[in-house]
Amino acid sequence: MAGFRVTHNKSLNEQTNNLSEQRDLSKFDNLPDCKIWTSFKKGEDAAFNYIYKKYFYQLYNYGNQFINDADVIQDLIQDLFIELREKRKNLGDVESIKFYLYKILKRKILHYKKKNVTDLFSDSWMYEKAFDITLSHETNLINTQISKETKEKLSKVMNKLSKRQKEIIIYYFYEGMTYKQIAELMDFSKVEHARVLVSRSIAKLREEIKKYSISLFIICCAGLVKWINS
Amino acid sequence: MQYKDYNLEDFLGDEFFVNWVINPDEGSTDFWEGWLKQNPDKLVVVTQAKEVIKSTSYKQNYIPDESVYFDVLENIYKGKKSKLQQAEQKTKYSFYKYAAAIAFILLVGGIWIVNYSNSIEVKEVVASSEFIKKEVPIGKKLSLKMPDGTSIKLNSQSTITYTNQYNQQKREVFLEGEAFFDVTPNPEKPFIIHTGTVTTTVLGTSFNINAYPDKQLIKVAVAEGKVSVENKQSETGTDSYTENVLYPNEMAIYDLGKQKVVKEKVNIEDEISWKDEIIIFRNAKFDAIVDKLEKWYDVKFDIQEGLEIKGEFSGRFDRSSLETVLEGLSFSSNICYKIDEKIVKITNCKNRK
Repeated sequence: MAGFRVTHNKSLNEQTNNLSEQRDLSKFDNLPDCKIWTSFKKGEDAAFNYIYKKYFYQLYNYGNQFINDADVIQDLIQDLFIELREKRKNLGDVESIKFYLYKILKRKILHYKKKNVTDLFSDSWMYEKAFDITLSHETNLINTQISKETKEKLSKVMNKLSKRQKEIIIYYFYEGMTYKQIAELMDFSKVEHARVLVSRSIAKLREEIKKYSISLFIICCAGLVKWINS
Repeated sequence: MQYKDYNLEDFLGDEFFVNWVINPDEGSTDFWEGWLKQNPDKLVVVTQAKEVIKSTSYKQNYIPDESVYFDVLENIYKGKKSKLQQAEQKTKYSFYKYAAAIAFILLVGGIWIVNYSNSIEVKEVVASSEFIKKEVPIGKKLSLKMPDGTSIKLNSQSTITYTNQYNQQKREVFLEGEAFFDVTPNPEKPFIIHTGTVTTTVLGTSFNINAYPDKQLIKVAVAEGKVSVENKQSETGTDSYTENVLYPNEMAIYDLGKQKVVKEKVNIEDEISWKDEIIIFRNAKFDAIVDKLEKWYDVKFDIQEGLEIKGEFSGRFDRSSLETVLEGLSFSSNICYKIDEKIVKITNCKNRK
């Protein structure tokens, strides 16, 4: 009888531990990705919950930029996480969880597209949607140097870029990916390609801005005056 | 180059800088704040670069219901893979395949009947058991309904060829002349049109192709959807391909002589009005008009020697007779016309007087 009670208590303890662990996901906030990943690989459910919670909405938003069917994206994300959990012990080390998840999701989207659309096409069919970019004016920057109008024009210019370029710009300016990660996501053989494409896109922005005859020089001057006056 | 020589563009292209703006950590913040103190003249440009980066985001944000978040999580915990995954593992021969096969047989039968009834007007040449060829004589037009529901309207003096395998694996046709396509969407079977070296591929849209072999131009104009056009160039024995994606109201013009592509915005109605028996000229030169009218009405123009008709003409003729069109033309220029059977004589009115 005694033995039974002891085991019972132990499992209860384990349960409460698990629960408190799950409630307190914030302990992962200050950990580097590689540590979180190791915890996940070891089978720690809290680590998995943390990853799911942090990245589900991001992945959902990201995937829907490619495909016109939100249900498909939902399914692909579901399969992605199930596979990760199945293979968790054999997974390699991961430096950036976000990049790792994005890469798998994009591969899944490509696979889905190839099966369901056709192999005949190059990347142009990859994007059912425009992958549009915006420069919103609702940032929490106190010291605004760029007017709303200029931002609207910049948005227009950005959306004149090719879809591939737009995708790259988003990775670079919004998702915070490195050139190396971008090259991998875009399936470039060299990191240099990502670098060149980014700088080309930025150059194009500048060129287009000139066309709008709002020289950045003027903006700079105006900004400088504002700064001196302040 | 050092950071102190950087302009806005350089900062935007700098990985370390961008990374600091998006994911600042102690080390990078320390560096950049210190650096700015040393280089106060760079504050404006750095602030601008920061602002460009920080305000860039997706135009469309997709946020699921919270229920989706939990549904997916539940399925993950249960290890229940999605329908997509299950479908991949399903055996090949399902009910749907049989149904599709039967439907296909019915459709082929159907198209045969449609083709048969069309052939009264149009010369149909079955070149071999493989190819089906439709030729439209000058001055005539033909509407075709393909087995997949795609409708093709062929303009005068045009030929379309396809195999009896059409719609089995893919939908592929060969075009000479001009045709308007309204392609039934089917993502599994792209619709491919071959015109010389130019290949146009679509999944389901409507668009116009003008590729008369006597001209060195192939024009593809899109009314709806998205169209991919590829041109094969053979230089020094190796093939190279250039691909263009077209959207509504865009037209690609392939100049085969100069091996050049021009993409331009067009008024799509001008390009496809012929299918509704409407002739539209918009700032058209006289010889372009002659060319169009010869095909449309099956006539030949005989223009008085030395007569040069300058200027551009615009007009719209809805199911009009040749006389009406010519009347309109002579109205706005100094020309007189005379129709003699299949010959239209154009003379200078002043000369005659």
